[in-house]
Amino acid sequence: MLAFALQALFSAYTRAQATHSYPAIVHAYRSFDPEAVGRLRALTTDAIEDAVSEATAGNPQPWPWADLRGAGMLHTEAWYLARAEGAGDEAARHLVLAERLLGAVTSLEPQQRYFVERWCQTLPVIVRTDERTRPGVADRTARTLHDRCRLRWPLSLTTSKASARYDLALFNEWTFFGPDGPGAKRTSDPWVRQRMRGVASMYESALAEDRDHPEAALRLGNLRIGLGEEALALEQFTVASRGADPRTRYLAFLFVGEIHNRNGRLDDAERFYKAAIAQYPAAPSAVYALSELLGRRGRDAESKQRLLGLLRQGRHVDPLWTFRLPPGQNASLQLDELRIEVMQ
Amino acid sequence: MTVRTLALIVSLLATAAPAHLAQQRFRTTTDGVRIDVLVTDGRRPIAGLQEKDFILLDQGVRQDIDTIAIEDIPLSMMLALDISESVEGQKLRALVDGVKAAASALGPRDRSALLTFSEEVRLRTPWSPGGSAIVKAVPGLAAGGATALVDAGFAALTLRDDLPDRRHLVILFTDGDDTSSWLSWRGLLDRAQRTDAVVYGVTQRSWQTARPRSLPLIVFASGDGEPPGDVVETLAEVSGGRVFAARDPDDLRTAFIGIVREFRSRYVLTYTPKNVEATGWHPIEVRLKDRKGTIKARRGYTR
Repeated sequence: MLAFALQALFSAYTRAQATHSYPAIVHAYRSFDPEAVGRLRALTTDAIEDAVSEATAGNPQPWPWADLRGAGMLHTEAWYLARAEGAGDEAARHLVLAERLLGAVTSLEPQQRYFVERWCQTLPVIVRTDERTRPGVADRTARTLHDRCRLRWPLSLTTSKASARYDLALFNEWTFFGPDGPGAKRTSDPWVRQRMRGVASMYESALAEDRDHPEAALRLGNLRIGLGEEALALEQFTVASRGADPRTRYLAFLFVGEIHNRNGRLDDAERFYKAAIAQYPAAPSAVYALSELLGRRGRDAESKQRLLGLLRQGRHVDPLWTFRLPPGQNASLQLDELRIEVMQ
Repeated sequence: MTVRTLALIVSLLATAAPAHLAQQRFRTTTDGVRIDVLVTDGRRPIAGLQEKDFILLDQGVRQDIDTIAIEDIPLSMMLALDISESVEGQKLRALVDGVKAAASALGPRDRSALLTFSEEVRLRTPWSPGGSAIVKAVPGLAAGGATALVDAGFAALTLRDDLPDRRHLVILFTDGDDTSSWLSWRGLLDRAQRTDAVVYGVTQRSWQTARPRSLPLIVFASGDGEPPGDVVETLAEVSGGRVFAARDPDDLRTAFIGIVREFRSRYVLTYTPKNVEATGWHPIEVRLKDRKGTIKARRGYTR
């Protein structure tokens, strides 16, 4: 009897250990478990350190990138929460661990590079826009974060000629066509169209340096639509769809689908909407586009099922939301994107 | 006893006795069309009308009304609530009260579902009997984010209850304009023309909540041009509903409960279209014969 009770107790203990082990917590986080961050923070510093060492050094090899990325974001969440609670030391510890995990694969393949770049861009903005931190302190912390990223990932943050031209074009686009810009709602005015052409030529010069610059191609394609040049837009979206970043590919497919839809090529539209959904299942816009199209084609049950499938998922994050907001105004959405990508 | 005679008896019963005692069963056929009709004297619903009191034209061709019914048909109510950033605080609390009021007006055979939207549309409770599930869901709501009004309206119509022999009500609350939908207003109105759901809008707008109608950088979003008037009003108009403009948050409760009550007083006319095109857009006109009154009904339907 006693042996049986002890065995049951031991079994329950090992089950609890298993669900609270570091890999299990990372897995839980990637499966939308809201308690995962709390469980991570409950682990001892030594236990976390050992686990991260094992994940990054590995025996015989480090974790796969998808798991490393998940663990990196989990520590980013812990950093975020610890900062909010004023636990500075703990926050700093988690940040270092996040950097280690995200930097574990040093070759910086395109997918990892895009993720790390966005992580490096997002965190300083979050710090800088945090109302609880004094502006001077926030700026210093943000700069430190950025510098650390540059040290750790010099390749990803080295400014190329193409990306410098892209940044300039983006700045101009936001200045004239951003929410408060003079050309925001008057795309048919001749002077606005002239400005659009000017910004388009800036993106073209970025693409002249690097003809496979996906973001420049995406933005240029969007402007081409505004100028009524659909054939040219399609060319640019095709370039964008070859990029490594799933957000850019998603938007490129979504926009191509929309062009086909508006021109009555409904089979093509359906195909591209589905391709967009495959790139970014948590994003609603492509699902709405597809659901609306299916309903219009008389496939009501399918239309409803597509929508229900989306709504049954947990959190939705759409790259369109950050695409349409100026950099610096969308840090929380960018963080949501990073989160959802490690979870989906 | 013919359906026509039965309908007459039911109508008489409806005027002579409490309406909930009427027991006519709502009938649909594969070819049948149901039209939800509100008849008022300008202010209050007119009760006791019979099928002979209506003239119904489909594509300009007069149709025979097979059945007429009120009140006794169970309803399926979808609440679609704007919980964007501007709804935070008193407005959200008033909204929660409004939901509870609407739920309290539901009967045991009625069903409800709750959908909320900011930039993200979420189905909080799927279809379930009565209103208890939506009442349980509302205390957990938190406001924040932008407004995907068009996407939410589309979802509310698309997720129409599948149970047969019901009338379908969508209550769409917003305090601002769309700021983040992918779908265009045309897509939303097209969907409205393909369902028999009636949309009632509840708006509580003020200068503080006025926002740009379209987002600038997505050129697609403005490709359809501006909608012909307010999206909520157009949607209500197309589906045969109405818009209640709440002056302050405290009006929301009255608006929500008033909508459910008014919806129950509507007539449901069923007819089998004859001598009209089988597919395409069917404009509908409903008039009163030899009587005065104001009619609200959908403008037509797409097959």
